[in-house]
Amino acid sequence: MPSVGPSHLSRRTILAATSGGIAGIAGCFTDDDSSGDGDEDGSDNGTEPGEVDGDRAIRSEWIQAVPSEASNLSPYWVSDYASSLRIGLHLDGTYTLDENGDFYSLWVDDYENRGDEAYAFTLRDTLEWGRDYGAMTADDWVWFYHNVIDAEENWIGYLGRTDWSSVESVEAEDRRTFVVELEEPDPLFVKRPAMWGTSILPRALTEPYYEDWQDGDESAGEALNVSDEVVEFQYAGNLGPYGFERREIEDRYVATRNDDYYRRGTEPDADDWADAPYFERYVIRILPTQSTRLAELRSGGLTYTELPADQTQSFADDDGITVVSVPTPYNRIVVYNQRANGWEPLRNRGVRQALSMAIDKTTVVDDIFDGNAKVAHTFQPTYSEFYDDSRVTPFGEGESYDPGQARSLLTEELSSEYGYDGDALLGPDGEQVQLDLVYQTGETVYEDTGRYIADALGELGIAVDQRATPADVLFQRYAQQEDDSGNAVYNAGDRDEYTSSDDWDLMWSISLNTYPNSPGSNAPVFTETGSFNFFGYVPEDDLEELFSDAIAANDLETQRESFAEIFGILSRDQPLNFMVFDNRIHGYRQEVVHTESISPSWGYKDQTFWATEELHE
Amino acid sequence: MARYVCWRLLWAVVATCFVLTVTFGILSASPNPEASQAAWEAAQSGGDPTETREILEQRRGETGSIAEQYVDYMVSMATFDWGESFTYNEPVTTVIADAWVYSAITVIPATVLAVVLGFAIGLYSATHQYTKTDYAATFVAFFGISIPNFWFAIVLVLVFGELLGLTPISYDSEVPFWSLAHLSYLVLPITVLATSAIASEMRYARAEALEYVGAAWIKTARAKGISELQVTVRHVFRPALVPLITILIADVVGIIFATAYIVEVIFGIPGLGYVSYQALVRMDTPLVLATTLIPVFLTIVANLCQDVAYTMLDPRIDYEGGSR
Repeated sequence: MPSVGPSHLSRRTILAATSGGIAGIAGCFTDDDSSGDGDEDGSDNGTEPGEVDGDRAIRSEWIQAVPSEASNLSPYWVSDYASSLRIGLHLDGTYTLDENGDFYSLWVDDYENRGDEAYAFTLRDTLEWGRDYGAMTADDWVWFYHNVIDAEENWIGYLGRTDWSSVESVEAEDRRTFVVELEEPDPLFVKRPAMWGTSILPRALTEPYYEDWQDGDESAGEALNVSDEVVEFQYAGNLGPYGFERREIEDRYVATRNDDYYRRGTEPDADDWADAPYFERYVIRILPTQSTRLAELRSGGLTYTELPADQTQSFADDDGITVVSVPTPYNRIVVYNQRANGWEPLRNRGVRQALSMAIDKTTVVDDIFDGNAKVAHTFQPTYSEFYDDSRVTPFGEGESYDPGQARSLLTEELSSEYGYDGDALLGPDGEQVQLDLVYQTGETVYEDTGRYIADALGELGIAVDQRATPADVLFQRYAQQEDDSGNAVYNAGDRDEYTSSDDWDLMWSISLNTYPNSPGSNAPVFTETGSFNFFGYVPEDDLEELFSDAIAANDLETQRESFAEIFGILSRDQPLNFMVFDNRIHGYRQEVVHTESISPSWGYKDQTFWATEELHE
Repeated sequence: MARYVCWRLLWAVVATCFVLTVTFGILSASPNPEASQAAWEAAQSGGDPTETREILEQRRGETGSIAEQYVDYMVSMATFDWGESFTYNEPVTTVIADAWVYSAITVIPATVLAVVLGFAIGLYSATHQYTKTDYAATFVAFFGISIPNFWFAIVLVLVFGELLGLTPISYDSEVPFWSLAHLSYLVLPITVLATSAIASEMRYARAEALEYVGAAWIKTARAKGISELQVTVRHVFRPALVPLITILIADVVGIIFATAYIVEVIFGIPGLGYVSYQALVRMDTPLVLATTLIPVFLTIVANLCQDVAYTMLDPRIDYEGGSR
């Protein structure tokens, strides 16, 4: 069952999200630091690289547990995190972003920005495909662009084609260098998920299937993606840290150390990569039950697993475990339904402000998320270069949390048909106002926060009816609308005409990427006609034009100014309660030595993590 | 008898088709979680959710009308060409062949334990009604029936696995199959499976046996000087066995596809119950239909075997209309 949050998203989404901000923003809970507050400068997190002396011997195995099986193992079909994780063992991808949000070389040795309109990427000269496919060259990338990305039909079923929509052409400059030309200048292109982290298949493997498709074989793309050669990574050569050993359905995925790994002992950080990876086997175990995964981590059966926010403290107190709490740009929000099947006063900005003012975000962060989240006041994390605190209007923290003032504001903003009878807010029908709050199942924090929201709004005299559903049901019944062609979309048009199948007023628990690298990507959420404005927000300001101007701005300073204005407007308008930014929490056996500082890019160099001693018997 | 068996087999085919049709209908009407998630992400990043959904449907072969898809699936089921699992990119038969072993190693011992211990304790309770041992057995039975399996499994893991370190926490398929170490991985799952089943069998066995404990032929048998063991086994258990058989089939199928699923999820056992559940969650239609077909057909055939067994256990029963 899918959940909406970082650990369930696709490679493309994860890449777009885990980007760039400043280094070391996260908190890391260790025995010495269990406050959960995190360190703004990242200097006291207990996992700074280089602190541990020891022998970087090759240990026998790394075992991590995940809740679900991969959907598929083709880099062209990947649409979920479970699949990305397995593919990443065999294919590094082009490059990643480091803790400062800067380019970090993997397959691509270096790049050159040619006036923001073209970028030249140069591959390392040691990249080899498996079997008899030879070296990875610029030709593989050019062919990929012309026959996969730019093909008339998406014959291969590649979901990442929209990432390349700004690319005009890809041409080879020499054997190792290819040039990506853009339709419009884009100073941030390298940080977008088009080239960043992308993996491809060798031309020699793909081309025969392409020819079959051209000859009329409609299933050629599928045949390629499910072929043994692809799902067993026979083509991967030296392009990733591990080679495929076996996959046992719903049980485990086993990979063995790649003796020819191209990245070993190379710059940057040649010392860290000296003998990488540092484990003979990498085992991914599928343990669907959270309690089983956590018990295995405690007892030493696992090297690593993710931890739930509300149980972090008990692990932080465990000497055998290191907890790393990493901030993410995922904003976990309370959406106000402003379409015709929501409470009509939610279209009033003052009413939305009043509701946001009555919910104490600090309580949510401290008492429900156990400190593993940050209060949010707009749709951008505070570390984003496009966030300007002076433009942001806070609601629900410190002085801006004020149920008394919220009640006054509500009285002021609601029509005369509404009124208080004692503590109850009565509607035009003389009955107490009741709002429907929907949220997804799957995590205790969703349920606890749902109850807290109900209690907080109860202080305003509003009764709240809570409903929890699986995430896909939440999307289908409460977010999707049917457009005139009968398609299920997230913004079919006029909010008075198009609504979801089921009525709702508030939606909690969904978490959205705020794209701190490219905030222009948020236009679909906050413009009236945006493809993701499922909640019917109609901004008073012309956000469409503001987004458009900000994206088109030639220099970074103008972009910063424009986006700061937009995020200021959003914080004032409260189209949704921005509530919190999630942390992602990692639990490692204490013997694991990390080689990077904590940042939103955590794990960009995880194949250089090593262990001071054997982790498992 | 032969005519009766043929009729029942024919009915098995009809019932199986009906169940498969209902399953297909429910699957078709349900949202696809993977497509929902991908469409949601696409819309947020400004992409086209409809196109994304279409790509994913195309990958899964859901390109024709519902009627066409239905005919395709039913034909493939009938011809035993069950196709490939969308999720695992493996033939459905391979997935099932790999998974059933893991279910069998827990379900078979649990069933044997349930039948042997459940019937034995039930008979003992019946023949020692209202004694302390009967009360103790009744307490155990109600405990086994009442306690939720998922909760019991988690508590056993936490107490015996994590706290005391006496047993492994989750199943490890890399442990040699024929080894004592492997047995240690199966102790907790079998305990959970057997607990509720023993309790159920025991209560039925006790209730059935009580009907015969005070029967005239029992008194006659005792008067003849037959030992208590012989009285219990030959004169109480044998007549009680016929109705007990009726619950056995339902219990075994229930263990495999209900309780076993919970146990497999909690202990990380990649068995048939878990695989079939995941197939449902992921809307892996070929695998769902295959994993539905097997238990349905097995249940119907097992019921037939059960009916035939009646005639052997109780010669008075005759399905051809005659009676002795």
